[in-house]
Amino acid sequence: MLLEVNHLSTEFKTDMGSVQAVRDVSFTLNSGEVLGIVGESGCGKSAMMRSILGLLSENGQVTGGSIVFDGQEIGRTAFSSEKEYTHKMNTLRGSQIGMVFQDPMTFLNPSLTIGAQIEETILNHNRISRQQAAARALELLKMVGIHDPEQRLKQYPFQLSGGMRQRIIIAIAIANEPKLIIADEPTTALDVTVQAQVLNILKDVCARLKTSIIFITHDLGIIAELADRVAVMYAGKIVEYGQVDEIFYHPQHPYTWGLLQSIPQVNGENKELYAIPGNPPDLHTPPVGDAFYPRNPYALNIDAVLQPPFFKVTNTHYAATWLLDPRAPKVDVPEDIRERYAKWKKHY
Amino acid sequence: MTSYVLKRLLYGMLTLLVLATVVFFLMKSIPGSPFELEDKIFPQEYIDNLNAKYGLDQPIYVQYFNYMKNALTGNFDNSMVMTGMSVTYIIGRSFPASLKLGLCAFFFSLIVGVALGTAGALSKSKKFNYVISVITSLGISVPNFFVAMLLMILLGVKIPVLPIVGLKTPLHYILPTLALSFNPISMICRLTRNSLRDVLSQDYIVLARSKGTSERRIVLKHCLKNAFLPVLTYSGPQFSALITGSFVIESLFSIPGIGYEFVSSVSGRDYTLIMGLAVFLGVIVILINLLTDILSAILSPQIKLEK
Ligand SMILES: Nc1ncnc2c1ncn2[C@@H]1O[C@H](COP(=O)(O)OP(=O)(O)OP(=O)(O)O)[C@@H](O)[C@H]1O
Ligand SMILES: [Mg+2]
Repeated sequence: MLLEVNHLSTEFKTDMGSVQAVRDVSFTLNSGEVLGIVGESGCGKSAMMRSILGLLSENGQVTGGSIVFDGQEIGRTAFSSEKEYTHKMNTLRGSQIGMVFQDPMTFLNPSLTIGAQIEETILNHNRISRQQAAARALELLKMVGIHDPEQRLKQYPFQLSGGMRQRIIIAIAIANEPKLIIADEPTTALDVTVQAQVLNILKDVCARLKTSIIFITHDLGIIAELADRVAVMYAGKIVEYGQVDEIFYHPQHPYTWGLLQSIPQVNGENKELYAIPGNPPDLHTPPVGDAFYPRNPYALNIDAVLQPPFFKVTNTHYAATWLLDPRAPKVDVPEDIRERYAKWKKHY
Repeated sequence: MTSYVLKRLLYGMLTLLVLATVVFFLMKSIPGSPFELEDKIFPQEYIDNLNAKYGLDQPIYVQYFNYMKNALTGNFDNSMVMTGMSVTYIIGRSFPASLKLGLCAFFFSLIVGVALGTAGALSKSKKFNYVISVITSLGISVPNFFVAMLLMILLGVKIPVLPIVGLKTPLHYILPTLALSFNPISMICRLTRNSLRDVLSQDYIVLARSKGTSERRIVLKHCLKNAFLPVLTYSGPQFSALITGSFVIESLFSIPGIGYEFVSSVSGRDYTLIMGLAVFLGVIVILINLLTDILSAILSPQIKLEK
């Protein structure tokens, strides 16, 4: 097991109190695996990933839980001082764990050259000369498919397109061949045409280096293509997780149903695009029961008062919904989900 | 970059032309003349003679063109009031004092302001930042003559440890420097603190951290250059303001500087001296603005690389 996160909680202090961005989240990641994390905007995906690396903004704080990476405890609470923690994390960041960010336009320093920004991560973790680092940077640019790499190294971010900048960010993330890459919506800010290219580069490079990936997105299409396992997040919690086929063809949580129904159908006739009605809850005051209760057409009375535990579907597939309780009434699953179930049955 | 500089230089010259024109007409619009001061009563023919000598009897547009010609060729007549002294001589006599004092005040302000601002931005202590806020608010709102008088009374009179008249020894520089610096220190401190905080919360700092970059290197390599731009934009004009002398401070500390000279030239209606000093100070301000723009361009690659 490469990464094990247990009962992680994170909050942000704001003027209106604290936002419970991540609420008691646990998951694991095996070596070489690609874990997809999906959920609506604001459900805490970025906060969760940044908590792992200790990269929260000034007002953010991990309030509980443990994080074990490659056999070592790296949660903030395992260290006696901020300084000790930062020191430990700095040996992991960029060398063992690389991060790819959402917006390539804002994550590169506008006043440093591309070369300097790639070389920095190499020099942070290797005792080599600047020339050697520059040579390695050149190699990396070729690896992520940048034309004219010698020229690019000397340029500044504003001289590059969004797609190229995202390749640079990928090059930075893989520079020291990390065991894990956390990619936080790496294609969301890109043109559709560029998205596929960038995605393929990330996929190829990670396959070649046998890097594990945690891939955050709200695009289920990407997840289907890329991930081995999927975790679905809602309002700061994971509500369902399982193998990618299990989540796509045999989903159990009404929120996952909603997400799957809102994927635009390519072949289907021009159907009105489905959107889950309502809005996610305000995480300043997290709900007592199931956070999805107010938007859930299949809600049971108990959802309003008690948070559902995880129910086992298979050895690898769990979902936190009272619908899976043996005492729950049988519900009529929406038609498109029933179709999915049928495909699933044919498969297995 | 070269064409950028040339363009700015051209703008600078245009500005100078406008400045000289405005000064000329402002000067002419003040009632009175150099030869009709309250306490000096000269016979009328004497005044007429002087007016004729300096061309003051000519129509205003002729006077204007003469002045502009002189201004643009840097060829100024003698002072109308201080007989026999050339404008150049008066500048040479008064500017060094203002320049030296201004340089002291500027570099002191820059160093203290940037250091305090950086400390404030990096410190997590609420108390420290609160103290900085209070002090800089004072510094921004209290006029410098008040600071000067306070310093003179406290450190010059009550506990007479520092000299308060003139600029003879290095010790003489301390009080006027402090008086001149309080305001710019406060401004620079605030600018540095705000802009450094702003830079520290940028996405690219998160990426730099995600590479395992040390906090020290983040500040030095990723922040200071970007955070310094607003400070530079403020510092340029502040630098000109400081080296061109402050009438109030120079009067209070009896420093024979150019700020003092300028104000007395206006109250004496010393037309040639007013024009000479205005053009001289204008050239300094414009050159320093140009220098500031070039420095900003060097700091920001986007401007630097524009053709
Ligand atoms: N710096 C911050 N200060 C205050 N609240 C924050 C901060 N960052 C995030 N939050 C809040 O925490 C919650 C989770 O935010 P997060 O950025 O993790 O969402 P996300 O799932 O990554 O969304 P997106 O898909 O839009 O990136 C949101 O409610 C958000 O408003
Ligand atoms: Mg996010």
